[in-house]
Amino acid sequence: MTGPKRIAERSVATFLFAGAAFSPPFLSIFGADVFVFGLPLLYLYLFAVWGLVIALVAWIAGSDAAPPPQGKGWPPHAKGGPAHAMGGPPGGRAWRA
Amino acid sequence: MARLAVLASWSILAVSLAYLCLLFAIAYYGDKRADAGRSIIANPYIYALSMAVYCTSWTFYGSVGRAASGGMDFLPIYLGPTLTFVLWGFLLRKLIRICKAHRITSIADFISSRYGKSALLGGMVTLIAVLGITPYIALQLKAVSISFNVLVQYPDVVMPPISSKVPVLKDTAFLVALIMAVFAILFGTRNIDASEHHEGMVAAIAFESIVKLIAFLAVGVYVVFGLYDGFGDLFAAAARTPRVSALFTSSDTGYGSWPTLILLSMAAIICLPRQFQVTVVENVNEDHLKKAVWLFPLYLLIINIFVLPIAVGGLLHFPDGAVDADTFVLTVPMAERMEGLALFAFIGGLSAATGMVIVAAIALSTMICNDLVMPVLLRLNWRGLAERGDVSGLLLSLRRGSIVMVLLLGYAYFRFIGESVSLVTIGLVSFAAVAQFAPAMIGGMYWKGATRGGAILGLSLGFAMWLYTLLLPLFARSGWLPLGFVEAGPFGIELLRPYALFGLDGMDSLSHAMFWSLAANIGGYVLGSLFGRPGAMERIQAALFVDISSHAGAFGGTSFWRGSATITDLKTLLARFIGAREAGRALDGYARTHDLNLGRLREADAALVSFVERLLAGAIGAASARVMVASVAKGEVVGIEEVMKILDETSQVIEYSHRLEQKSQELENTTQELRAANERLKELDVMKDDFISTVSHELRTPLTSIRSFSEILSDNPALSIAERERFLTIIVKETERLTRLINEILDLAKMEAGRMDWHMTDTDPRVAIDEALAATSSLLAGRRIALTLEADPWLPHVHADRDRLMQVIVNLIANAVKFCHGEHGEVSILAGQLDGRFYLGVLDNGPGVPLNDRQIIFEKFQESREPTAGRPRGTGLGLAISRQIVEHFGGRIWVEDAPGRGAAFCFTLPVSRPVAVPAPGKESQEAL
Repeated sequence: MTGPKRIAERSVATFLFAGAAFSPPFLSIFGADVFVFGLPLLYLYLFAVWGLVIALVAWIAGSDAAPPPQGKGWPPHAKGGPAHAMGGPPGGRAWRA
Repeated sequence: MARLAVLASWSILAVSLAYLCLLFAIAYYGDKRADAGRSIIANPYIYALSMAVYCTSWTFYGSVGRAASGGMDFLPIYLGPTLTFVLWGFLLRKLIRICKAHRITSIADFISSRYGKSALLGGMVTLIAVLGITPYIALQLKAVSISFNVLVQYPDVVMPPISSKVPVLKDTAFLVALIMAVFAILFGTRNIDASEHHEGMVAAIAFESIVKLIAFLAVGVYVVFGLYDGFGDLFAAAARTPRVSALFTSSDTGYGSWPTLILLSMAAIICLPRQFQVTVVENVNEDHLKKAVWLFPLYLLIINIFVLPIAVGGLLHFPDGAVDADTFVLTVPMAERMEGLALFAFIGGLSAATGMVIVAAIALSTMICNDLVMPVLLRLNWRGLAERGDVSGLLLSLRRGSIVMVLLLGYAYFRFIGESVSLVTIGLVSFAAVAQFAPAMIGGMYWKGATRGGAILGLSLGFAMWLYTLLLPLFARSGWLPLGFVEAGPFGIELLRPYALFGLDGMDSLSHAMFWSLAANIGGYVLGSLFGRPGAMERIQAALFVDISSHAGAFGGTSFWRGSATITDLKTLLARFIGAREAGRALDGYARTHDLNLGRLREADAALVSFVERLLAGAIGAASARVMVASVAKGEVVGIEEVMKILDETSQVIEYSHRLEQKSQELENTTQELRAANERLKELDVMKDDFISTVSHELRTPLTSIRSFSEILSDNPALSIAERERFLTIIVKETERLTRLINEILDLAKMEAGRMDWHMTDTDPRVAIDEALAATSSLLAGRRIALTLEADPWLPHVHADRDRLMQVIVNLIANAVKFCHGEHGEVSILAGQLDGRFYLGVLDNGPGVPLNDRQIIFEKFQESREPTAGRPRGTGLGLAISRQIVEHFGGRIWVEDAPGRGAAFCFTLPVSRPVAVPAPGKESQEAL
């Protein structure tokens, strides 16, 4: 599952994206007198972006597996260091001769 | 006639009443199920639907009106909540956790509690909320009233007369207000519940959200697919009408108001008392949030899809502008003779309005009761109040009275002011008022330094600005104040014009008001916090709120009770405020979870006292709860100031002694290091002396023999040729030995001084081994020694100087040859990998090295001498040099017992390139 930090980053990024998409410069661009599929461009643009943001929120919230309250941290990831494959005490193998 | 009867005024009333009865039934059922412990609202879908109480008649009627004049300008009010919900993980979840932990039941309680349980702040917030929300409630009443009056004109489609001419008792809005009050009282104040959940109400609100959504969609679908042939047809028709098609392109304001509106609605979705109520207070499970955060915005999206089409359809239908665009949702079906649809739309609008009014009234009444009236009552005459029997009855009456008062206020506002202004304008004024809570709320959740003083200053400045730049001008426009106040400024002072304060011109009035009020609010909040001194209680609450996740689960023990109260006293106190049954249930629950037998205990401990305080806080607010508990707790509350002072002092002393300890520790370490360095210097001094004397001694031996043999040769010219040959050979040998000795001494000195030239490369140890074997072959010549090499077929490469590596191997072999058994000498070399390192061992079958000598044998001139005295010697530097080299390569060299008898000199080196294939077998070769 995704860690809380990544969830937070994604949330902030989505927020910034939405904030930018709904800002006056973009609205002016899409406020052009153009019809797409018979719909005014701005109308289409706003609902499409809005729907996308909602989908992103749903995805982010769905991937959040943080347990409810309690416990500030989460178990650290198991540290799988390189296994010491070449075993044996010093001399053990060498002295077999 | 039968067709017309559907929209006769009696049938509209009958259907409305039937609908309201259905609501009552649902709410009643919800409460029953909650009592039985089988909640029908404990799921994310109902939770999200209850949040949709955000969509009021403003959405239902007003958005269309706004769209009819401003195109997409109606939308930002719904985008803002979506943006806030994107940040749910930071904001909403934390808010819910804090409120659950502290049993916070309203915004006023939240802010009061955060800033040191300040009754003053709670009162301020309540006042602002009531003043701010009243227009909003008026808006709903206005919408219901207008929609009803429009509907009863059927089959005519005309605007109703101004309602102020109607006597109050015959005014629809008044009747609606009364019915709403009854509903709110029945399901909002059934009893004083410590948890403050109103399940019945939530169920009814969720149902209303479904009704208004379906009603609005029905009208939208009818307009788009009934009147026109789909979206394309509708918009194509609109495009042919210049006045309508202008709505689709850039608006006149150039979207300048969008950021303001988005910001405003972002704040509103958490700061509106009704949103706080359904989102935070009525939340039964934090996990529901994860679904609701996208379900609710999705609801908003769906309900808004048809706003623009309905507005366009209405504009095309009523091109002369005689019909108010705010009523298009009703008037378009009416004009098309769709009675059923018109009635359904009316019911949808009714549910949108009633939902908002009910929740807002309940939320406001909780605030008024807990944060305004109770603190005042307690302050004025709390002894009398404290001595009264059952206060829960009083509390309930207070709340019911507040509900009636709030609705009457709303009605009065509607009656005297609301007529002249559009729905959306009224709503935005309310939004701007509650947005003033945002700095204190959000700041309080993240900034520990925020203080009560700052919050009070910020709130009052922001509120004053709101009043001056938004509410008063609205009054002026309604004729309650001279219009000159707006146009020329008060007393003709241009600089103070409320719509262009201090000459700030060219913004729309809302953005202008938001700018000034938020600037004043945040400025006052930050500066007031930074330049004030927080009290102890504020600091404690700040820490508890900001660090909620680390305190979660911890008992919200913000009280330090020195003495304690008797259980009976506490129980009586609780019973007075929340009723005997609830009190008994709560205390039993506590006893169960804490394994206490309350019947046996007489004195309650501090934890139980705190528990009771929190329970009471749910019913009467944090500030009042504190006062009440203090009245029964024997012994006084330890002054929080006192506790904090003790804590402060203690922590200072601890800090100081901690630092002292650190200092002395450092000092000790330094001394130790100095001592060690000194020892080492002394040692080195001794070693240097030893070294010089040893070196001179070692040099003198070959020199002496060279000199003596040379003298013999020069003194005895008559020596036989054979004799001469022999002496000369000895001289040559000794000279070679001398050279070697001097070379080695130089090498060692260089290595020790770090001036050695190393040619470090990626080296194949096999090459070094082979070269070493070749170099030592002469040593073995003429001696009966069996040398075997046993090496893995793939040796890992090492990072080393090849010549020096060879030198080490040569040294070890020479060493082994020297010390192996005289008769049946055996020397074997093992090479391979050990623990991921390159390994090489040289084994002999000599006498071995005694345990004591195993360290010093690697020192200079330290050969193991005793058992082999008289044998040909090396220089005594070979092993010392080998050690220097191996250690320089990052390896380790040591000696141990060989199996059987003899010594094994081994070293390991780090691998630079591991072998690709681990050796499955061994390659064995006889070297000689």
